[in-house]
Amino acid sequence: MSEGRTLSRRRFLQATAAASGAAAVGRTVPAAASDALTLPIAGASLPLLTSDDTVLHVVNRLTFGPTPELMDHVRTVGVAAFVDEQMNPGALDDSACDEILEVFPALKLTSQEQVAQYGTQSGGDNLVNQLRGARVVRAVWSKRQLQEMLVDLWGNHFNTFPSSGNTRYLKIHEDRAVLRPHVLGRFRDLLVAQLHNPAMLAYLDNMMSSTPKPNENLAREMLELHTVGSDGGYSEADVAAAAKVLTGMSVDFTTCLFRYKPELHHVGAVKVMGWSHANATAAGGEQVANSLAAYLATHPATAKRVAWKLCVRFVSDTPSTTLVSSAAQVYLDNDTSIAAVLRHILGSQEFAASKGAKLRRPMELVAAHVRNLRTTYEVERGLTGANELLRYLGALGQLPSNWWLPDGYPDTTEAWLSSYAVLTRWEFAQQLSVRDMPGVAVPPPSELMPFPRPQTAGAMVDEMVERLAYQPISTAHRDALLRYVGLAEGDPVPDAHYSWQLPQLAALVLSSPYLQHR
Amino acid sequence: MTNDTTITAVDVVGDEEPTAYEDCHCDDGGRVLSRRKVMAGAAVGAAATAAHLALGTRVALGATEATSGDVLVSIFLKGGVDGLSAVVPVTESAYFSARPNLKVAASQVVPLDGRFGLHPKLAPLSDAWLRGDLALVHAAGSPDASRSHFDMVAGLERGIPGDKWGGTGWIGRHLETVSGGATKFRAVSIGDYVQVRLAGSTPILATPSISQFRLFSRTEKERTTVERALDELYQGVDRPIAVQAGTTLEAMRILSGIAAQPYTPGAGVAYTGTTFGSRMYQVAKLVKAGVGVQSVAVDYDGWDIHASFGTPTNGRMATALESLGANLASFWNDLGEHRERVTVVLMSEFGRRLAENGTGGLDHGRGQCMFVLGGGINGGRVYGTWPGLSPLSLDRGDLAVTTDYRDVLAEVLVRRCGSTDIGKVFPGHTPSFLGLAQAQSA
Repeated sequence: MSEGRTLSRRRFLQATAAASGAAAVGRTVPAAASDALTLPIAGASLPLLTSDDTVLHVVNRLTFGPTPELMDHVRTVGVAAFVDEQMNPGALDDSACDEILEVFPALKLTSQEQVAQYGTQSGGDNLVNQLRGARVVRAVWSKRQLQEMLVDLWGNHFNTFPSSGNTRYLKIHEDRAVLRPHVLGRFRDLLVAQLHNPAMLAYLDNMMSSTPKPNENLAREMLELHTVGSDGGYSEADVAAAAKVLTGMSVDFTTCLFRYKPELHHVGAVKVMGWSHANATAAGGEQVANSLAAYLATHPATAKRVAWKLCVRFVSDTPSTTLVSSAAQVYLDNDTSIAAVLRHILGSQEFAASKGAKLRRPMELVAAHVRNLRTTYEVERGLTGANELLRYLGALGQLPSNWWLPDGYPDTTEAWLSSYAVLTRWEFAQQLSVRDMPGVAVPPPSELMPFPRPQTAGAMVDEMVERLAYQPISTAHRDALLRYVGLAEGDPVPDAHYSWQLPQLAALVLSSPYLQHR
Repeated sequence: MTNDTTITAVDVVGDEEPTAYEDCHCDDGGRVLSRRKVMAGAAVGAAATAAHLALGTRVALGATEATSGDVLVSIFLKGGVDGLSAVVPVTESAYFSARPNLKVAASQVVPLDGRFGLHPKLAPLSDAWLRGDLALVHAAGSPDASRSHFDMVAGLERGIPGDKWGGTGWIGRHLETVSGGATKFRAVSIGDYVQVRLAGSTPILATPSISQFRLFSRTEKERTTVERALDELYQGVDRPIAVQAGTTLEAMRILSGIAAQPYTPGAGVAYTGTTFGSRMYQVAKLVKAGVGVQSVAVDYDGWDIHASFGTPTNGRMATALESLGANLASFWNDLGEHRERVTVVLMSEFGRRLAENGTGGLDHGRGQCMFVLGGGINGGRVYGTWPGLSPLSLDRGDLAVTTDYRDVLAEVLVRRCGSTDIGKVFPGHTPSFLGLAQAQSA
């Protein structure tokens, strides 16, 4: 069948402005509510995790959420060994997750094959859906949890939106060949890979950019978002020069792979901040772009921004300048090694003191609950389970690869706290707990309990809390759960009452503030 | 257990909202909203309607809270709207020569005055223009000349040019200076995130639609006990999510009451099936429900058109303007008598370049055209000093800025929304008014 339908040249849809631009602002601006929300509140505040919960803390931060098995494993091998395991994802056997990923046949296709097989509008939608589904499946079921967190982090840092035009056929290649090989490697290699990333070159119009009127889109975002940042000391003239440098970095419209096109390239001396190049030939343009990338990747302003991003993801919304600076120095001293920066951050006092400091964003929350309930994926139902989880992620505003702007989803609290978002978090916990979620199999809630089952209302509440929260809760909150059960501490729980209340009790623990944070 | 995933009447208990207004994967940034599923044994239909009404009446539904002035509806058009296409400078030869492919011809516009014409897709707004409700401010913008989305959106939402770091927005600061009663609806976002311009000490409520704002329960008793448990689980919690949880629960109770009431849009109203249309419908409903809404924020994205801009009748810009024109006009008609106490302001982060680029589009520019719509607005005029499009008048090739956007917003806040402390809203700036708003009579 394949005549090899070529990538359409007609529609090069620039990703239009934000689905959530204000939230993009929100990532740097502590919004409204939080000014008022630090009012002193009478009564017990959320207790700190107890002493043995270095384990819970590390699991919360390095993975999408704890499971009883994972907690046992980390307690057994120790935190240091667990960190080492996660830093070496290739050595972790992920065959169980790979079996689930078989429901997404597009993952194995080249971009050209994707165009041939999914070349219609609805086919394109199907393709993007598979990529999104694979992201959430991996977040839940992959053993290579840290790798998945970093695919998410760098995928958003170098965000590309799968528009209804070309970019949608290029995203799977991006995930497989551009992101995964580099997320725990050197940032400079990741940046060069992004300048050769067909999805990036399509999304930010660079594949059409040519002399004499280059398109400035990629050049601007490369400076403003990917590397030095808007305070990094570049001018509009630098943006224009960078745009000239990037002319020629393009895509082959048949293979949908990177192709350098010398005929598009601007020739002549260029200067961007402290970097300059004679740029004397059209043929040599790709190397000029790589040279600029190397300069930007190793710039101190880039070091700071990369360090900051990692600190915000792994420590808190407001990491100290001391930690960010020291992490930036590690970045520069280790030839832009992401793993080195991460180890430095994980070894810091600030990390240790930040238990429970981060709000779980929707992706982290959905994955955490699904993992925590020991849910299995019903492979025989194909995409159903993935679609169900994506439905909630969409409602919560964090559908994978659905951020329109190049800056990616925000990583701080205020961007995620609308009342609709809070409501949907509660709804998701409910639906999962009552097992009303087709395509995934949640064990019956009785399996959250020890056998024989707890005999009193107090024990019932305690067992549920321990199983799902892995930490104690305040007396007042425990009382609230008892009031929900509708019995006093020492009362026996009749069988029918027990069965009726168990799912909502689980949902309430999942919906509690304890599990909204990590 | 039922596995019904289609939207049926039972999913929107008591709400007339047609399913055409559901979100779609539209070019303007539609997002798939969750389709609420009916849980096993859920009490649906008439019984549930009665239950919603009962909840509604417990919270004094229908009582109009005293507010200080007009309801402020702020619409941020994200991406950088090309004001030169929206409100065309038909007497400027430089416009026509700079845009051989993208120009709107003089014969295609709806004439406004001798100098400007409305893009044909905005024709539905000509009624408002003729009625004197619509004022336009061309060549408006920020003193900040950045062409970066992020910097400009941040600065404009804050209302402090060049300052993107900070905790409050211009509407949030305004609300801190005016009274608003005990309503939960002083600051509302129709969407699913919190816009920074609402940020301040006033709690904010965000929802994509009124009817979606609830949890399902197997029984009414379960609904009550679950809501109470959630309320208690978030007491004594010193985290941002705790306050939002309280707002959420309170809003659930009130909105379920509104959803339970029958609603008919007014005459001449035809919202289209886009995200923006759906949102403006929700705003109209909320304003007319009389629950003390003081400010509503809606964002409409999709304006950052660097390529494939299209023609005045077809293409990305035409599609976006069509949604804007039809739905804004429908909203305005839908308000009916409520127009007298509502003012709508539309703005974007910047305009777009005068000259086309090499990919059939327009890159980021400077001056934009703001829209102000209100019963108390001196409409039917294009305000501001038009700088012209000669090479010396341009700002690095872009339409210059001659009116500070804060002057437009300040006049609305002072003359229509009861502001008594505009210096707190726009620190470091002394606004001068254009005369586009009538002072509220006492």
